[in-house]
Amino acid sequence: MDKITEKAFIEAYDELADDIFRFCAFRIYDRERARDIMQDTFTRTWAYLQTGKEIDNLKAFLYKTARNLCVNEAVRSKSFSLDEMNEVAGYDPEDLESEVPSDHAEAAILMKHVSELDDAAKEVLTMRYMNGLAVNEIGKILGLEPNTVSVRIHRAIEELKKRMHA
Amino acid sequence: MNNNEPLESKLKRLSETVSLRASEKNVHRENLKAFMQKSRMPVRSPYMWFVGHGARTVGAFALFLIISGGGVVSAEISQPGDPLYLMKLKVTEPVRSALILDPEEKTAFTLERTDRRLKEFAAYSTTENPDAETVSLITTSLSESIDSLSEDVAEYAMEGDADLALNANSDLQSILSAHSRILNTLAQNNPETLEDITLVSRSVDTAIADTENAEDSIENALESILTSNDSDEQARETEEELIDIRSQVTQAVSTLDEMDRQAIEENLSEVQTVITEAREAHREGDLESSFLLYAEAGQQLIELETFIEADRNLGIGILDSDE
Repeated sequence: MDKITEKAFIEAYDELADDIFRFCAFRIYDRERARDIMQDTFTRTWAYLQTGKEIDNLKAFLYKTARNLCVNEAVRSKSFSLDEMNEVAGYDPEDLESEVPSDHAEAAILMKHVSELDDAAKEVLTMRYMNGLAVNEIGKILGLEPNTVSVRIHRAIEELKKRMHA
Repeated sequence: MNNNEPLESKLKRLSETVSLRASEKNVHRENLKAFMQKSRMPVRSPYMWFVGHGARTVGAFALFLIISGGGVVSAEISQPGDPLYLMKLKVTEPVRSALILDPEEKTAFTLERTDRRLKEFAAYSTTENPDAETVSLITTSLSESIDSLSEDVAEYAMEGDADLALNANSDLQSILSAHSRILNTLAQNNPETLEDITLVSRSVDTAIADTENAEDSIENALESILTSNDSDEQARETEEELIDIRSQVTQAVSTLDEMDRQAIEENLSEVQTVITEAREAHREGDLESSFLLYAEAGQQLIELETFIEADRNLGIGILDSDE
């Protein structure tokens, strides 16, 4: 396997920084900490490579690292106001004026329901829909069979639907 | 959001609302590049931290020893009138005492401090123009150590350790008695410091009287503790200690002139008689008399040691005195 060069690693950052940040943001619901963890994820991974070790799947490795770092973080809050959702999302108040307010309110409600799911359900939903990872990729990151991942995603969606219509 | 829109689609759209701003992403990118550049530098062993910091630490410690440690050592051997004498009395000795956890060892150190103070005072009072402040420093420290020993003796007695109480009391009495005699000789030879010497002499005599009173009360408690089965072992150990002190005194005698040597040898002979009596009393089962006789022998040996040292260091002919 080819060694990951600095250039390749920076390219990986350009491609994956947003995804890793989003994954963290939906795990801990704290924008600033999510940014810190995203940064930490990349620097730790680079430090790991500098020790001469090899990484087969950089994307999966970054997610695993981020996941481990998020586990140590306390979830800030499980209920969200519109302001809090905007804070996590990083909306600029000026930009909001041009948006349809009802969309933001609904997004806040959806975020609230997602945050109330159990950790396993929340994790697969985030990876599948917020990060757009394939079932196989999620399986590699979590160390699960693809079928197991699919079942979890299906159950998480059903649970979320129930909550949305409750 | 459209109510007919599938939930999966809504989740995807929700995720789009959470993203890094371009400025944020650039800041983190630059941070990452800086980190990567830093890690390109020659790899430094994690142990280098110790080498660097360790070397500085060792250096600082060495400096500390030179400055503070050296100061502590200097203070420990400083004499009245030296700049570090105050540090010795107020810092090094109290700290050393505080670090001793064993009560018997602490008592032994306090006895040593008492002996030191009296020796220091004897030497200082023969110098020209002794400073009143230094004399006050010595007498205060002396009073403190004597008070501390009295407390130790009382505590031992109260806890039923009458033998420890009697030994500590006896040792204190030996030191005080020897120095009382030294102070009397000094007073005769140094009329210019008579006032200071008399002051210390009085406090020493008061302390001797206190030890005699304490001795009476402790002896009453002795009988109850001198019935243990290991009294043979205790007697043997006591004799060994006395023989050890006597050999030290015998060695010191060689530095004296003929007349002093004869005086000391006569005293040693008397001490040997007391030890023999103690041994016989023990053999006859009179443990209390045996204990007291051994204590008396020890007391006499300590006094002889103190006299020899005073004669050598102060040159006051203490061994020639009539007492």
